[in-house]
Parts: sequence; C-alpha cells; structure tokens
Amino acid sequence: MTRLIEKDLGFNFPNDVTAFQFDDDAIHGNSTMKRVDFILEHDDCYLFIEVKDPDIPAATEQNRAEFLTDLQSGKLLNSLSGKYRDSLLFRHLAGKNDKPIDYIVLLSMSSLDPAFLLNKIDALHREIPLNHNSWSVTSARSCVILNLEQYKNQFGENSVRRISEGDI
Amino acid sequence: MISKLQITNFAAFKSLELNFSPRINVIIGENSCGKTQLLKLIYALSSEQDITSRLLGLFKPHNGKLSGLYHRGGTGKAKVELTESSGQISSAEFGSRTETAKRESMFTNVGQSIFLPTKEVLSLLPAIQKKSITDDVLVSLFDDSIIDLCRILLSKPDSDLADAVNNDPRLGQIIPMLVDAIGGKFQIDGNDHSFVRGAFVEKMNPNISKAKNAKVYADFKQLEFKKQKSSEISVTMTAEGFRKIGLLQRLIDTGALVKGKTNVLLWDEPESNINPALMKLLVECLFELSRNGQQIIIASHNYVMLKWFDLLMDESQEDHIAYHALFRDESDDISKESINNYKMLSKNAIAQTYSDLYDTEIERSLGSVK
Repeated sequence: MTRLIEKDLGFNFPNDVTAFQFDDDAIHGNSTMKRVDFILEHDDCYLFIEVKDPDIPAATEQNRAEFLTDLQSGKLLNSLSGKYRDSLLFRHLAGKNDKPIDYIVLLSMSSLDPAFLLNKIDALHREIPLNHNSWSVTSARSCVILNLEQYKNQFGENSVRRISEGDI
Repeated sequence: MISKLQITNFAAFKSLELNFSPRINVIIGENSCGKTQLLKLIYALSSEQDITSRLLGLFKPHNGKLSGLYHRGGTGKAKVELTESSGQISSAEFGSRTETAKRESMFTNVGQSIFLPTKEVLSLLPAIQKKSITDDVLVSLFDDSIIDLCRILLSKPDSDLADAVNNDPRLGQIIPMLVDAIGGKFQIDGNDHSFVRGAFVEKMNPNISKAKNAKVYADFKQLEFKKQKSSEISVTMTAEGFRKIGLLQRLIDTGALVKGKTNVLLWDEPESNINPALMKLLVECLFELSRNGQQIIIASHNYVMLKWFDLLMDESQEDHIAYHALFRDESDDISKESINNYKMLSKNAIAQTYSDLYDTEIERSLGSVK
C-alpha cells in the first residue's frame, strides 16, 4: 500500500501500482512547469490525479467563495488544463508517454451537484483539449472530475480519508 | 387562491393530499406519476361548470366514461376536494361504476383558473376564430384545456397592451422583458394574427421639456411599443419557443393575469419547446407574476427550469416556492414529498437523471482503470 498525502486528504494506493507525488520540487527544481499532484503507473495505463479540496475543514467561507468564483470564471479549469498539459509534456520528454493516460480531478465540494460537475467535465475536455483535428491521437484517454463520494465508489471506501477527522 | 387538494381513488392516485403555497408551487416527478392529472383536477374543481362534463372533457378517459377516471384497484368511492384559501370547498365524488359525479360543493365568486397545457396553441387561434373547424371537430381533436385557453386568448383585451404596461407597475416590468426576449410581440388585430418585430421605448411627453421628462422617467417610466416597419410575419412561422412567450404576452394583454382576476395559474411543462436561454426569463416572469399576487402551480420535468427557480428565489421579495415531488412508493402507489427548499428534495427524479448521467460518464471514462 502506498500512502500519499495532499494537505488534509490521505490517499491509499494498492501495492501493484507505482504511485508518487509528482508535484514535488525535488523533481521539478526551479522549472515553472505546472504539475498534477500524483501520478500512478498501472500495467496498462497512467493516472494523473489532481486534488482540489475546498471542503477542507480549515477553509474559511471566504476561501470557499473564492474557489467558487474561480470555478465559475473558468480560472480553475484553466489551471487544471494547464497542469495536465505541462505534466503530459514532462512525461513525454521523460519517455513515459507509452500508455494511455486518464486524468482524474478529485473535487471535494459537496454542495456541487452532478449536473454542474458533468458540465465542468465537458468544459475541461474542451479546454485541455482532449482531441484536435490535426492530432492522430487524443491527449488523454479520459478526463473526469470526481466528487469524494464518486472517488470512493471508483477506488474503494478506504482509498481516501480526511486526516483531520482521524479516519483510518 | 387554493390551499389544499385531497384525492381518494381518482385516476393515478389512491390517496394523496397536497398543501399549496400561495405563491409558486412546482410539481415534479417521473412520467406517469400524474402531474398533469393534478393540474387538470384542480382546474376542473375550481370551475363552476358541471363537474362530470368538465372531468370528461379534460381527461378524455377510456370509453368516454367517468369510470375510466376511477383509480384501478381502489375500494370505496372516488373523492376529490379542493379547498380555497378563504375556506370555501369544491368537492365531488363518484363510484367505480357510476356515470355522473356528485358535486358536493363548489366555489362561488372566486376567479376562474387558467390552465396552460403543454401543447402550443397560438397557431391554432386563426382557424378557431374564423370557425374553420366546427365545435364537434374541435372537441374530438383537443381536450377542453386547449379549447378553453384558445377562447381566453381570443377574448378582447380589457385594455390595450401599452395601457397594461403603463398602468400596472409589475406587469409593466414583465411585458417589455418578454418583448425584448423575442424581439417583438404577437398581436391579434381583428382576424389578423401576426408576430410584429419591435421594442418598447420610452414615451416622450410633448408637453414637458427633456430635462423634466428625465425626472418623470425616474419616478414612473412611460413606455410605448415601437414596431419595425413591415415586419409582420405569420404566427406559424415563428419559433415554437417564441410562441410560448407570446402566450404569456397575450394572457397579460387580455387582462387575464391582472392582479386578483385569475384564481390560480396552472402551467403544464412551461419549458416545453423553450430554448434553455429563454428559461431564465420565463422563470423571472413567473416570479414577477407571483410577486403581483398571482398563485402559480407548474408541473415540470426540467432541471434547468427548477434550478432557475431555486437560484432566482428572493426571500426579501417574499418569494416562496413549494416543491411537490411525486413518486411511486414501495406498494407502487403514488406518494409525495413536499418541501420548501429545492436542495432538500430527496425524491427528485430530475436531479436523479443528472446523477445517473454523471455516474455513467464516469463509468465510461474510468471503466478500464479499475
């Protein structure tokens, strides 16, 4: 089991998967390349995971309001797409672009409903973009925004926990 | 204004009781949960006409008989009772094999209700006005809700549109909004039905200076409709969504929605054929009508519309919405959940659809990862 932490969220990844913190200055040095938080290497694909946690208990009302403003203005999607593209370029130049990539954004904001998230998924597809008329391959095999509940549905009840709540 | 509806053994309902908000009520639920039936029943009971012919004309039951409106599997009589906010009751009952309903009581001196069916009707008006179709044919083609509405729309306006705009501050806000949204208005001039392009503009008073006029403008805006020359087109050639807006314009124009005249405005799926971009405007108009004292009950399938209701509700203007979600319970009977806060609805079939879409999207995207 590999354990990785992003602020108040603790992640457990299975042993048969290589998981590491990609957003780490030790890897990137002074480069201004944007980075997704984690990269997971499966046998048949890579997972890029970016964590956004506005529901973090320490967040103030103002933090949440700012987050929503960024989400609505497109600033957040712009940042999410930039992180994906830069990470993809980094991995490509590192010779690690040999399997399909799924991009997963974990967005812990329980007040957002599925219709809203669906809409943002479509917007993120366009923003990255996943396809282009001049490309013979897609930039990612898939790209989704999961809320905490969906993340647990996909990867197991114990795949993520809130550290401040003392969950194991 | 109505406050309560009680139903036993009628149509889709074994037993149901609904309490209504005096402002806006939104009935939601999956298909075949009886949303339209509820609206039609309220419409029938709020009328002073013979209840049997009203029910048959509106519901058009199997074999044309009242027994077709009796709840399958019910025991005892079918009873329906509508309570008005002043305490008046309109009620009727019938047995599973009887052919006429017994009217127990009815409203007196209460305004008529208006029922807007899903079907677009503006394009039917010219033929009905010219009597190109006989009443018999009309009755065989449409249910009474459509025929009634056509008659209301064809009735002569109490005052012309510009007067309605200038004399009622609330309606005054709505009509220019509607005209702006579709770039013109529908008009019936004698036998001529058309859509005219144009906009409301400030009416200048020739007796006062421009500066004085500016001051008056701040206090009370006088508006008049300015039409574009030779811009009339036939109603049928306009977009169907525009005709929905036109319907609202015409209802205001005929005075039907003037404060206190209509008991309750019943609207079945206002969203049908409406471009999502016009949905916000439609909801804003419904709020304005409600703030003007008009009780409204709508049945809706549409997430965008519900969300606009939720987002545009303004408590400081005393807006109030009651959501009534209809669903089938464990014994397959239709039950309801009534709540004042959209987000707290647990039986929300419309939101559930999005939730299913979201789950399916994720399943498709990540199906191969797990």
